[in-house]
Amino acid sequence: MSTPEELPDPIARQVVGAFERRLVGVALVTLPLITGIGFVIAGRYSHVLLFLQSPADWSTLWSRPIAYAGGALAACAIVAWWISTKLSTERYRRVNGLRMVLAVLCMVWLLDAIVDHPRVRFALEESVKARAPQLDFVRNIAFKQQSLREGRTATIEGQPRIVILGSSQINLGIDTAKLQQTTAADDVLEVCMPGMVPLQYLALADRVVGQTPTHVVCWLSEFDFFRESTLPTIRLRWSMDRNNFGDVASTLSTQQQFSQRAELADLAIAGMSTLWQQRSLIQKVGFRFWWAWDAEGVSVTADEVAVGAELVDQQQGLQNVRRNIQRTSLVNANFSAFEQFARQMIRHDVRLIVIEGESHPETMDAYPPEFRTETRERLARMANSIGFEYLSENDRPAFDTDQWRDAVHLNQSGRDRLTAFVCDLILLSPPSDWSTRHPN
Amino acid sequence: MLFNSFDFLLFFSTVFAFQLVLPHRPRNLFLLAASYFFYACWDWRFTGLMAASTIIDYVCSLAIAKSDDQTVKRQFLTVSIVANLSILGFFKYAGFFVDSWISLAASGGVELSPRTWQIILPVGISFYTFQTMSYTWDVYRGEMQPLRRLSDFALYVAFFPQLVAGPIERGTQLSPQIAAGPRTSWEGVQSGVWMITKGLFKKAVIADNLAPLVATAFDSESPHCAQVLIGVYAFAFQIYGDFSGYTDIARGVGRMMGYKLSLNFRLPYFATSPSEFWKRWHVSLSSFLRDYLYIPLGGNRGGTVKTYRNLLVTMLLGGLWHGAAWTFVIWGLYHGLLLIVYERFARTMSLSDATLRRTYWLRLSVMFHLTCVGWLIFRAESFAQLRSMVAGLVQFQSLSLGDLQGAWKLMLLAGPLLIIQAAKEYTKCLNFVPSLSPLPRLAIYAGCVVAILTFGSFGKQAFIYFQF
Repeated sequence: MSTPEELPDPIARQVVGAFERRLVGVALVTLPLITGIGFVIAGRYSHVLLFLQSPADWSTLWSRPIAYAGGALAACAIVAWWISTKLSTERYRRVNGLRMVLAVLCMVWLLDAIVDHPRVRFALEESVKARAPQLDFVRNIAFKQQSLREGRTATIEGQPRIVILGSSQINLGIDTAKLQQTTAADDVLEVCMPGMVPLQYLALADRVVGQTPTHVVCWLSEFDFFRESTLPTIRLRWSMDRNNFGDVASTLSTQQQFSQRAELADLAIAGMSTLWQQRSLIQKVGFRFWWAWDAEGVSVTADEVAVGAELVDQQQGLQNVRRNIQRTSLVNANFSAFEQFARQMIRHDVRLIVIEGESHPETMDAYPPEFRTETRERLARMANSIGFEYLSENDRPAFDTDQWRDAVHLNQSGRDRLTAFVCDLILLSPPSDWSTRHPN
Repeated sequence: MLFNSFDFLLFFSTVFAFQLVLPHRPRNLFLLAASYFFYACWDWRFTGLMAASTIIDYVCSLAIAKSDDQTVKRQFLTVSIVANLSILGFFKYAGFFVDSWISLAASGGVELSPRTWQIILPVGISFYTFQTMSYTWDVYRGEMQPLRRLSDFALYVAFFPQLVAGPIERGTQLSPQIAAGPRTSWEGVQSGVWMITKGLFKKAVIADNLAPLVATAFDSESPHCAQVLIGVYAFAFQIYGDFSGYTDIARGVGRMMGYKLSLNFRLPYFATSPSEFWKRWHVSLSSFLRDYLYIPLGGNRGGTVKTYRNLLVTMLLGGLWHGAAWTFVIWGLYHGLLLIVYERFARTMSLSDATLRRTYWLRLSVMFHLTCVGWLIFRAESFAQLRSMVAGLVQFQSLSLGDLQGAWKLMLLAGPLLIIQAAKEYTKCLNFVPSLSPLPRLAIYAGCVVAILTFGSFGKQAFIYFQF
């Protein structure tokens, strides 16, 4: 048995050409069959494949336009292939080299544009939701993308439009329904993701502004600033575009920009290519297919669903703090990112309310006190110079041990307390003397 | 600096641009400096070791070529071989042999204190020591003239595309190119770009996405049958994607600069016998072992028993070359035994061509599964893990969601690769894709680029063969 080799070009083209012509011949003979299969698969199974609907629902799944598109695509592909094999050697040569590179780039660009289409993005996000378990980070991205894609305008003029921005701590800490009811808000939108960092705030600033909020409420502590040592590409990639990439890069020093060149390159590509930007979602759709329709996904507790993040027991919380809270190289970048974010909010006349965050008292003991003081001082200085409202732990309610659900999240009692506090803040006009209330 | 990292992209773009404008001699010096820089990015301390190995073989090869006295020639060859094997033996095997000695003594009731020292394995050492040894040997056999310039020879040893994981280039293949100083051509750039794309696809899309599946199976304390099967099949494609992906990128990078590096893979999973497998898998190593070990040992010239002994010794040392662990020794031995059994079977049965044709798929499938058994031994980090995986094969459980998703992922990643490889095997043409008519070629190129963009993993997972 001979082994395959790299053949000289003319011989290779001859051998492969003969093989291709045989294959195309078979495809042409079976063209009606292949078209029919394309028609049926596209019409009946495209929804199933995308959204993993169970066979019980198949009878309702039939899309004539998609079926025609699938059938036509299959038929056209075969005819085009046949034409391609008929090209003369001269023409064949011409479709080589630079022209081929350009054609590939065009194909990639075309696919990029297709994935960027709102309908396709919606299908992608929905299919991620069907595959990913409740607390999956990519699932969270899908939800956030959907909620932030379209800009919103006020439906009731003069009423507050509130955005809650931050990690799962504030997500669970504020009861949005109660907030909306008490403040008679036109809308309350949560833009919260587990472990959200200030660099993400900056990356999402334009989209937050696009929601035309009157108030943005954040809950920030040293846990948010003293953590990252490299740019969190998975967190930032999905929200990158041509505009905010420069903003994110500007938060790094020149030396950091050099040392984090790979991460910056990743984000720059995400700003230019939708395929790259959406790769976490596409990977989830590609790899998370299964045909055990009734198989259970990863189970989560009702508590965890409410939190939108995993519950963290006391010991784990302490471990997390000890492991993660350090003076990392991105501390200044995080502060700089938040500063830019705050400036953007103020420039758009958004009332930015920043509440100093905390965790369970036992968890707090593990935080290095100097980080807490530094965070407080830097945020207070920022608030003074930019003009947002900063409420340190002296200006907001203190939470007792029995108001915590776990190491970092408030329970119902704590939640009610924080929600009532935020409601009061929003209903009251901002005091003119915020600067005097900031502790040293 | 991994091939699939942004840093390599920056490095290679710079090197490529400069080498385009430099004339021959300065170009070689520049490529040498770039190669040492590339190597220093892993660990600058070992550049001295590579330089020492280079100087020893440079001196030995010149002395061999200059001398007419066969004894002197043999002496210099011995110096080269001893020096290279000593370097390799010390850095790669000293710890292994000391540990094995301590274990052996312990089993005999003698307690020796465990070693407290660690030797860092210099990356690529197995590749460049073999390459320099083969060079000196070829000069000794009169198959080539040595390179006269030290800088040229140093570039032959350190040429960055193939420095850390091969292909192990023969002096007869690479050194004339270095001496002649090939130039970048448009055709070379085209085929180089395609090879790099193909390599990135194999590494970043196939191998790195299969890695977690493999790790799940091998790290499981009590794996069950489906998990073991998925893990082993996945490893077969992971290691192929990883190593042949590396080779494709190395060859593509070389081709873009005008150098033609050797083929290292010829669709190994389409082999129907062990001897054929070794003509298709890591060809540069297997041909090295054949030419510099098996044949000097006597090859198949001394009767059946000696042939089998030579096969076993060659494969055992080939296994040991991969790493200082008993699992690699067993793996080598296993392949040696396979070669012997198949040779015996072929000699006894002497099947007709018609029978061989009829049983093609059966033989292919059997050989693939025998190869997978070998991969199970190869991937196991200890005998305990190997035992656990083998025991898992008879632990039957209903398929979990994780198993189904794993099987799907394996199918999704390995399926397209196998389809194209089947066409390559059918036509016996390895440059199948560049020879297709424009439309399917465009579809495959674009498909690869899109797959790399969406499913590729970059700069996180080192190439498996770097550890050897």
